[in-house]
Amino acid sequence: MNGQDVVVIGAGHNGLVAAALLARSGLRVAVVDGRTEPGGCLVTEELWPGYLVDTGTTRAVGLDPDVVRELEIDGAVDLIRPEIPVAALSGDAGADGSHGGGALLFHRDPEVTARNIARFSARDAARWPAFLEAVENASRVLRVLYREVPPVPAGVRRTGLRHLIGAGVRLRRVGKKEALETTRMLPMSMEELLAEWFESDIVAGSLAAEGVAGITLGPLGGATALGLLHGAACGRSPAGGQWRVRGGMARLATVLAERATTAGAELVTGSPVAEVLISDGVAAGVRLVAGGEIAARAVLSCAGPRHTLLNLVDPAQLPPDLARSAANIRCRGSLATLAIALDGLPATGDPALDAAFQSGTTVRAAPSINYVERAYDAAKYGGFSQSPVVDATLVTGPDPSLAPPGMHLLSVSAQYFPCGALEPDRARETATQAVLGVLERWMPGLHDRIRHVGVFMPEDFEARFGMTGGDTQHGELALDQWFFMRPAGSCAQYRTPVPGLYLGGAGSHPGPGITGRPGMMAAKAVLADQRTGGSQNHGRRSRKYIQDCILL
Amino acid sequence: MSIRGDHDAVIVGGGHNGLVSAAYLARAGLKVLVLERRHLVGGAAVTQEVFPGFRYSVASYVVSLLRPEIIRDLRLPEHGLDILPLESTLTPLPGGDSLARWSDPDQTRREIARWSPRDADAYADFSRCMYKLAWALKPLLSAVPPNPLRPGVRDAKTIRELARAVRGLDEADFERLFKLTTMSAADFLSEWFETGPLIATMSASGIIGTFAGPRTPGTAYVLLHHYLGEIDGVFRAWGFARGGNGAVSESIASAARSLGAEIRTSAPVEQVITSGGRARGVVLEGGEEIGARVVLSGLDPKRTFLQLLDQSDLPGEFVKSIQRFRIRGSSGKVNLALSELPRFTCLAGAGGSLTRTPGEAETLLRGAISISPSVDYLERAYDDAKYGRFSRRPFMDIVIPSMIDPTMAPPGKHVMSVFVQYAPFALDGGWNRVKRDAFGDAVIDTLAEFAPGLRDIILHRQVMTPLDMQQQMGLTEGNIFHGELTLQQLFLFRPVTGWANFRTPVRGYYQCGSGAHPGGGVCGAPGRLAALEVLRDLKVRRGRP
Repeated sequence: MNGQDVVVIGAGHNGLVAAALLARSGLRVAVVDGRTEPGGCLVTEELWPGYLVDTGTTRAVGLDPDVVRELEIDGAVDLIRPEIPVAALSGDAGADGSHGGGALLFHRDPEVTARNIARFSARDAARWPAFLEAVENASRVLRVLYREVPPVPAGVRRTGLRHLIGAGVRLRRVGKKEALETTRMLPMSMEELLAEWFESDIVAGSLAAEGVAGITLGPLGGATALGLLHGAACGRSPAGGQWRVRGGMARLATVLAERATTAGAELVTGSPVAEVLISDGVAAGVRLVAGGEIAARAVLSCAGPRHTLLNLVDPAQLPPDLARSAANIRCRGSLATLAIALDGLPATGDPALDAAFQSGTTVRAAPSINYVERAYDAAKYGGFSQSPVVDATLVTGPDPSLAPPGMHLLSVSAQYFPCGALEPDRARETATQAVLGVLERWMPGLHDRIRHVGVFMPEDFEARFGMTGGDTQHGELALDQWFFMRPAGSCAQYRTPVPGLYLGGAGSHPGPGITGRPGMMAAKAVLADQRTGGSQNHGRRSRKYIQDCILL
Repeated sequence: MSIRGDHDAVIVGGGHNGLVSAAYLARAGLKVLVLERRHLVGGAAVTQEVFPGFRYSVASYVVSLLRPEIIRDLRLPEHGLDILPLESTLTPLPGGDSLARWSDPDQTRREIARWSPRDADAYADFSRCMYKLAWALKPLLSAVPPNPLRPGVRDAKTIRELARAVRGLDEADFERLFKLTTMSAADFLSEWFETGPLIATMSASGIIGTFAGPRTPGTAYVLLHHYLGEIDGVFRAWGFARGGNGAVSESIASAARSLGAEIRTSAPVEQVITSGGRARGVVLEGGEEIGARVVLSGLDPKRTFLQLLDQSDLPGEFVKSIQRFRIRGSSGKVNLALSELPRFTCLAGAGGSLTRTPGEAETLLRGAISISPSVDYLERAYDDAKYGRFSRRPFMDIVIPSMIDPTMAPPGKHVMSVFVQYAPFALDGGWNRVKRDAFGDAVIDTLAEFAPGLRDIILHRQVMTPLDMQQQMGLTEGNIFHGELTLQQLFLFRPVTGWANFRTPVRGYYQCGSGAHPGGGVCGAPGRLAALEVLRDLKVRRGRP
């Protein structure tokens, strides 16, 4: 096992993508992970006999098209994409099960969605297509940036300069007006962005929830528009919703792991890394908790940047500025997921909603912007939302194989339940009650159908996947932790100030969303350095480029 | 083209920016007329004797951002401008303790060390860093924002100049600068400090005039905005104008008059006259028409474009952009006439871990007093406003002008200026007399928690809600900055992308108010820059002809 070219820390999707690409380029690669199965948070477990539960991520954005192409993933997994990604519940549903206006179904066909919106507001319905176009324009701009290695303040690598000029040209092709408009949109709060378009609570509330998903900020928080635009750039409909993998997320993990091992990468699972070995200031491999070392010419960590830089690297090896930056990376997880096993299908009393629900539509309780903001208010002071924002998907609807015959599985993600607010058992209990309270309101009788409940709090994400603070994004997706600031100015190009040590997880550009892009880009950085022999020769980049980027 | 008109330039609105524009245009030899709706000039920067003997800076109450080049160019000291420094900031805390910051860095250091030695060190580093960043950004204040859609040669030069200033920063500072423009004030400060009241009070300057809480991303930028202030070249010095903030306006008006500008008060402009896509003059309420080669508006963008112009004069896209321009009012003002000095628990030595000497106590009363005991306190105040209520326990920024300038109140008596946040313009059910009183009561009740006995010494109380500010001063929604200072409404985007260079889609019509770059505060920069742009377009050389 010794004498690798590259050792990759973390067999999550980014780690596996990176490993596969590196191995295909002829490098000797080992992927090391503490968990027994590869895939990181792409994990499906038989939580109760016959129930296959995605216990890690339940919402996926979508693999980057380049990753899909390079690793030939198309067709390897069976994706479930509901016709109606999201059904938004309106108003405060009454105790009698009435929904005060019914649900709004966001259809994949914009015209159908517009017709549905018209029931709430004709003006909003008329604006829906233009809104989608505005979001699409912004996501085209972001996609250009997401394909590039971000420039860093320290200077632009000479080899990267051509890339950057290319990016500039591509940006111009998207359009100067579009680029400027995107620059204007990014710092906005979801509320401000939506106020420019919509008047009805239900449209705004549902989209707002999409913008703040996985972020510990309310829709009134600045730059939460980034959440929505980022999702759109990663191929997600602005109305949200999720594609799932038939058979569970682990199927995707299996495919990625297979791509890596087929290419020759060695998988070392069940073996957490204790330390990144650094000799003479250069990364030289890893030491495992179980003892033993793996020597390598380069170390690529796809674990969270905070964990990597603060826990795995000897602090004496880090420049003080970087240690400070790393400690300042905000990781404030507040997303909880629940798996609820049901012995039958609860009805909502609304046939259209029932039909959608049973076909895999995510039902969302975020009836207004203020509802979402109030849910955040509690978290702001370190408490739990009493009326949380809830996304619930009947995963057995389109995929009955996930539960025993006749049984059902409801997958829920909800926020805000900040990490560390309560001691673990009470946290689980309180969150469950809050979520069930919301679900009961539109699905009366749900309670009697529940067989099992599995709850995963941010603390669990931290304990099981090493996500600092339970933050599933490896560092909150915020404007100051984005692009050339992700995860920190000196590491935004996947290289760190420690030669030979690279970062390539969701904490790196372009960030979270199960895209595999950070892993792919990091692998390319490693390859480039392996070819030219060393990562220390960054060259100087012109800071002017960044200023031009800012000013566009 | 025939120029019909008696004046070269007519300026709508005699606020401080309109007056600055007038002075600069008159200085270049133009025939200038300022038209002010009210009976006095100054706009939001006015001093009024609301109750006999007590003079209030009714709305705007401190000076920090007034550009030194304006003070110099217009020789404002000769026209009566006298700025007295505010030398300390006091944060009273529940339980009788307090946190003070002084103009003397050593004293501040000792004070902060009482809470956290680490913060005492960090404070000096922080100030140095902010000073450096403020210097780098300073050229921005006197730059005309380029038009990114159709950049000209001059725009490219501007960008290069700004880039050069920023290029002087090292990597860490560049990162901090980026963080400042994007982070929340509380998060940004938490990267430096651990002392709650210190973070709260400093972050409070990030939320003044903004409809956002200290944990809202984007508020950190305003921290820097405040470091940009300078008085007589001294950075980070807040000042108080002798005679109140009205005296600032008066001195600019006096300078403008001496340079030949005419100022008419009680002359409300109803509309700007346009023909052929060009401004030709204005018509007053009552029908009087006044012709001019150019018209400048110092009003906020909503009024400048949606009220003074016919919408058909403007492209539809532009109108839409102005309509969505955010200008939510978030603050109120309470001015008190007091029979004696208020007694703050934290200064009376009645508890807490520290007793201030009488000398210290007096100094602290001459400075600013900030009711901002914790970030949570500020956030809760914001929470009220988010849902359409005024803060039941608001953030307050207080000065006692009569301590610095005794002419503001009768002998032995005092005036107290209380800036209050949050008071949303869009109050649930709207503002009325009862709610204004309730708002005033909430302010006094909260203040009395820190200064018991306050109620007994109040002789008169003036409560200004955002609606009052809109009605009296013509500030749309009572927004003190003519539009929120968020990243998407600054520089290139202020007030509309492509129109940040003080010009408008109507030729001969200019924006010279705080709704234009670089924004609000009694800084005068928009007025000056707009005037210089007008002179450029009219091909008048700067200075006296």
